[in-house]
Amino acid sequence: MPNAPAPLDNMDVAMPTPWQQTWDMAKYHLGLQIGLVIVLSAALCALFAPFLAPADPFAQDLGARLAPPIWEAGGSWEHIFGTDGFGRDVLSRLIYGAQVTMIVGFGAAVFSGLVGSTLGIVGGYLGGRVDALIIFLINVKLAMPGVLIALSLVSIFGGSLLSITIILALLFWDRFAVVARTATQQVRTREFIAAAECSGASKVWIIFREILPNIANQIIVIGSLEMAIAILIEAALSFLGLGIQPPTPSWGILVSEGRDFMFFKPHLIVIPGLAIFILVIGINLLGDGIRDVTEPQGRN
Amino acid sequence: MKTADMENILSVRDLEVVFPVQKGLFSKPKQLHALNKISLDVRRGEFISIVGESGCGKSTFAKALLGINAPTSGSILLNSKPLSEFSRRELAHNVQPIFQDPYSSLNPRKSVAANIALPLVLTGELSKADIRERVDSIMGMVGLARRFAHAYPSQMSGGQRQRVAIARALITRPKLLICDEPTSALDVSVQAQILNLLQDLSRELNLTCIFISHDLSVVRHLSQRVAVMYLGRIVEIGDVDRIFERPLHPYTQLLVDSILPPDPAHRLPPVLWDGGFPDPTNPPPGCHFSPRCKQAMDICLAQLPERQKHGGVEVACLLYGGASGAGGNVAQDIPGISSGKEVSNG
Amino acid sequence: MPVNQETAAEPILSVRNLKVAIRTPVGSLHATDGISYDVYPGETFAVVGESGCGKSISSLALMGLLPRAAAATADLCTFDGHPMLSLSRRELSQIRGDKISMIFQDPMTSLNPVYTIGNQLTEVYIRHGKGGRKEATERAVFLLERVGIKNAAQRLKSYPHQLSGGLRQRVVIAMAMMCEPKLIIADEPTTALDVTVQTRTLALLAELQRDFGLAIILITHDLGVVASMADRVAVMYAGRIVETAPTRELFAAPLHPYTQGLIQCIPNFEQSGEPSHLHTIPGMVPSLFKRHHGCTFHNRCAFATPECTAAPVELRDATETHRYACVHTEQELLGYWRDAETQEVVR
Repeated sequence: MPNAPAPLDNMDVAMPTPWQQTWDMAKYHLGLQIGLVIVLSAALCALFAPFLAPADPFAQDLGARLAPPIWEAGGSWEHIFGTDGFGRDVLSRLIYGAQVTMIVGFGAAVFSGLVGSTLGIVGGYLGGRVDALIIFLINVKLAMPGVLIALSLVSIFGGSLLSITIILALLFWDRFAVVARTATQQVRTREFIAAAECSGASKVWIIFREILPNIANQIIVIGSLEMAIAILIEAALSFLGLGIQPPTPSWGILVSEGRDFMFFKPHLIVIPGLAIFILVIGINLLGDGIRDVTEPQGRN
Repeated sequence: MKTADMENILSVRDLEVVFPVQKGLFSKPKQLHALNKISLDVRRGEFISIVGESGCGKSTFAKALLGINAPTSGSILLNSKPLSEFSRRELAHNVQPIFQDPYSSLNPRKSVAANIALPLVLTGELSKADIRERVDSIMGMVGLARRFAHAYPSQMSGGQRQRVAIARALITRPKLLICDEPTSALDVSVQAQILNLLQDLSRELNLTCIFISHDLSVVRHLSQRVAVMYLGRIVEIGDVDRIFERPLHPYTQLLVDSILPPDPAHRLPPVLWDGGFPDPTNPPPGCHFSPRCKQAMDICLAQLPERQKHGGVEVACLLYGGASGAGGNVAQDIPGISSGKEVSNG
Repeated sequence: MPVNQETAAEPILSVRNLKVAIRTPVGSLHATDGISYDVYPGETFAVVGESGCGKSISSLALMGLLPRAAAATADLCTFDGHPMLSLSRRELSQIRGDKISMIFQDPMTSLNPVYTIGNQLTEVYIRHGKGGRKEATERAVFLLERVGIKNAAQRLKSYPHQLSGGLRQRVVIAMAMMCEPKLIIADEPTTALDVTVQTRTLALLAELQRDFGLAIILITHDLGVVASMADRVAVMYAGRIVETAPTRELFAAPLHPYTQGLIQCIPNFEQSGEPSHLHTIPGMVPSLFKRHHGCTFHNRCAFATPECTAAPVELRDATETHRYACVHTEQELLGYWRDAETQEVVR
């Protein structure tokens, strides 16, 4: 090209790509790392429970009821966390309980995330009557007493893993919708969206290929928070006997079962309670960490 | 620089874009006439500028030409075909934009190459290899080194991002380029580079450019014709040298007076507060500029002037005729002398 | 065009070797690298440069408004006898708004949206102990009228969102003048305004300066603004001052190649005829993360020679009032400028 100007040179400092920037920040973010370790540990327990658990969580041994944990007098390495009222190994029940917890937490977050985010993005992008309808739905949902409705639904549909997951998902989609909608409205005014329209993009393309990648990190953060809440509510429901039914171990059930022995065998209630506590903190740290390291890197 | 082909690539007639504006929950929605009966012809290969200040409707006009804002009434003909009859894909091959803000006109989550290739990817007709080749070639044309293809917008400066935006606009080989203040957000030295690039490319590729700007020096440098907009209407249009050397419409005069050249001998104009820009939902009766106009006559408050030919340009001002029914028989070129009765401004 | 002031013996502001460094995750950014200048009472001193040159940050350092990650050091940084960089936060906040005021670029965000403008105007006055509510209101009305806002008394009750951008900026100017400052720092005060409003607002600032005897530091990227408003100019590039001179001299005989390039690449409004290429400054601003040995402009300079990178380039005197930072002599540089001008005419 006769008139083309000489190519410019920029990279005086090697400005890292957005992915590199995220990685650089993640390396120094302690909260993110701790949260990640906790959540991954729980996920590993959930996935590999049969290989990790030292014993069968359902195997009862009435001769070894209420064995103390390893740090008390009389404890043994056979039952590191002791046994419960039926002689079942607490550690094994804890590990298997992680399955229920993670499936319910993760499942509810993903499911409500899909539903809520889609509604939010569609309303935020299209505006007008569609948006008005979606806002109406969100307001109706916000006005409903969530936990009470969850309880009623559980009593109707029973306490299987699937029904609990779906019921909890229906409780949380509104938060996703609100965040997705606001984020979409902010991105929608940016000029690259207009440029995509001028390039011939359909509305569907714009929603999924232009807007969504730019709001994904906000949705993921909300997702992590919702997962933590789902886990807490599942534990509460199990504790009340309205969630997952025994003998399936869930951390809520473990707490509930430990209630009877609270005063003389506190480890039976403290250990699962601590597990719930640590996992929820871990998820929150992870969510905060993701938000911190994926801050929009854009303006110089 | 006039091309031999005199056919009009763009014909706009009586274009109106009206937005309803809700002031409160219970008040009646007012109407905002963002564009008020705009008519314009653009010849193939021409470089025409549109100048005006914020609220004059130039961005709305750009969006209407790009097919983003549907007009309330009036017609836009592109290559003699109504704009509404073009599919999104067809339009992408005919008209492309270059926007003002280099920081928001590129998708930050996509690489430079992905941003540039978007229009081609959307047609779905070309193979990946073909697309890559076209992206390479266009990057060379806009002066971007090949290794930027895998970079992300956040790693680049404003000027480089504008080059990416230009590459994206040109990759479909459109005939018409709509530039909405493409250099206003750039440093002066970078602006010069980008303007030279636009100039070269428009000549090489025989593009027609509609260049929207508030910077009159840039406009004079680049374009052949200029249209001055005020509150949704074109108040003066014609050859750029003629209009800037002898601005007829009082608003154009005001714009030209406000230019600050890099010349210490130039004096600042006296401090004058003339009421500023009117509320677009409640425009003044008659000529919209009349409350600010030092040469306003009684008739200006009552009648909206139409565009009239006057000495090689068209101007919508009652000083030069343009009253409906009256012919344009003002013999003098010099404004203000004929019948200017001072109207006291509130 | 303000009359070239007879420079008073004592500058009201003196800065020597101001360095501002900003800590970032990728390293230390040298926003300004040892800049020195004086501002005399009653004059308009323009600091001109493009984005990232450090023009804003030096004023922020002066006012104690730097971000947390930034640190400023200087051999001297004195305003009206106060050593600005070593004042406590309380002392700084007493001087800010009182003896030095600042006007920022964006009128939309400079005013607090939840308070009336009357409230914001009087607050400054009262908080600096200048008087009670009654005097504050009187002064507010006086200043609003002075900046050309009609019905000033009623306007005091308006909220910022009820005013247009140009009006808001005039309110900001009035606010800056409530306590009779000696120095106003105006950082791109009209860039966000429409062209016609911009020029009028600058004319207003010039008038106020004459009438109230203010000194103004005008930070801008626009050479047209500099030419119409400033008495003296400092041109900044990549964190350093590369040239300072009285305005007339700067435009008549720019010495530093960057200044020459800047002036040349502005499209000339007076010129008609065939569009031709604009003069450009090739390349890009260098990274501020590296400390550059020698001249920061050399990789973009048409007249660069090996000596340019040999040693740090200090400001040197061409005349008593005109200083520039280049290894070439004044005669050489003036020669280049004359050549460029002839080329323009030929073209």
